[in-house]
Amino acid sequence: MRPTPDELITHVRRVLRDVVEPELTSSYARSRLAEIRAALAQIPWNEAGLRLADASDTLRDLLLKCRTWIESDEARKKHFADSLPAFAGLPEAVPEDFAACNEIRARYDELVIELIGPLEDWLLTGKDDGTGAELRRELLSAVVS
Amino acid sequence: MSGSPEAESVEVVGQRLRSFLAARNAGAEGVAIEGLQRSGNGSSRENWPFDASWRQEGSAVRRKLLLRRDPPSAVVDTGRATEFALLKALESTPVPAPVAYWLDDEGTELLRPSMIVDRHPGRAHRAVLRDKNPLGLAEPVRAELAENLCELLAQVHRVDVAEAGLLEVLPSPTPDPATAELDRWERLLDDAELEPQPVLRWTLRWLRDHVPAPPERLVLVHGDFRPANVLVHNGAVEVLLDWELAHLGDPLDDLGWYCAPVYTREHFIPGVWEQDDFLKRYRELTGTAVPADALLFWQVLALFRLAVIALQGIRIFCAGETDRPAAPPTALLRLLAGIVSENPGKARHAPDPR
Repeated sequence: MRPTPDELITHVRRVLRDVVEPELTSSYARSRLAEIRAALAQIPWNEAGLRLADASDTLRDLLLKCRTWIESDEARKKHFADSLPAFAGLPEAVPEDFAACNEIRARYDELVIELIGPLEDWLLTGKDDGTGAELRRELLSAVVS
Repeated sequence: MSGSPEAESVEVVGQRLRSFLAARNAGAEGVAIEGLQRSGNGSSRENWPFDASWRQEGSAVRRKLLLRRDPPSAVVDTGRATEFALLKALESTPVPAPVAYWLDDEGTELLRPSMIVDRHPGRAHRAVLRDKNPLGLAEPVRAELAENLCELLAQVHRVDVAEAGLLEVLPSPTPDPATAELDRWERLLDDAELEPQPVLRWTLRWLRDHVPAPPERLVLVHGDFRPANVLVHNGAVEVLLDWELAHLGDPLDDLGWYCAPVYTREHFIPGVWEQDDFLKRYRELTGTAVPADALLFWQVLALFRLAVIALQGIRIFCAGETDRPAAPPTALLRLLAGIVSENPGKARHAPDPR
């Protein structure tokens, strides 16, 4: 596929800089053009979809690990009782297109949000053996990947 | 985005301005507007510099003015009437703020809610302290300017809010400044998010677990204090701009914003004027203690606010309501996730009252 998405965006940015910008007389328009060029440079266009899918897979695996961790201990099962039903509808990460992938990722993110309060509270109980703290670190890392 | 094309037309805005100034200046004759243009800067307000002239009781009046107008959709919805009243109140203080002349709060005359303030010489540039040196200042001048910025912030915080009448202009934060700001910015996040934001929700939880003790006294918090909002003329501070986020609160609020990690390269000069120098000078000038845990709270809240502002920009961009493009605030979210990850648990004890 040529031009690749990256190539297309790179050269559109170049044309905006070399051809369009010199013709602009309005400082407002020049500022907007600079912002457009900067915004276009922020996305890794070739990998955006693939990265989203990979990140969703990683997050799903981690959420399944959280469920196993909760269910493997009676005290944790009791503490996280209100959160467990949310795991039931965890969708498979096999999206057909970008929109579906984005939708699935949003569902995973919602479940992470559901876990924040109970997990932070659990860590304050003094009952954690270190595995909850480790899951906290992993989740915080996964949600920004 | 542009809203109605009429509202964006320099010619139409100029005509409206002429009528507005004539109506606001009884007896003014021959009101003329020159040099009106929409400038490229300003995120929460549009800036339209212009020169106005008229004859009043036989004398020629000439003013350099700035029309500050609401965009059709703003990243943060702030009350211009409050900002106008604040600027009026600041006229009796030593704080160098723009003089506010006229307000069209409903936008019935100037097409959108607007105020007109005086226009000062100079430039405001976010990178003024950096080596790229956009204002072309000599190194010693840049170092002095960096220290002057600290003195300017101390000057803002030394304003006696009761004496200046600010208690009648700005609401008192309840139950305490930190919680009031958290509540406000959580509401703004609720409004801004187009998709779930686990990092920001986690940060909110962290912030609520780390609310610092309230300050000894309420101060005027600028809310967006940084070089980008300081007009510099001949290497010196001319005027502090952009008061739309000002509120009564904790002085560490502005310190956390100024010392937010994303601003380190812009707000300090390596080896010359670093964060420790800034905080030391601030303490000398104000006598305000700056506990590390409280500063961290306000730094994290600053990053949280920036992320919410970015999300609000994304929301209105995706709705086609702004000309300003927006990309995901990934770097900010990574920074926040890292801080929250490295600082688990609650504050171990309530910080000593300051």
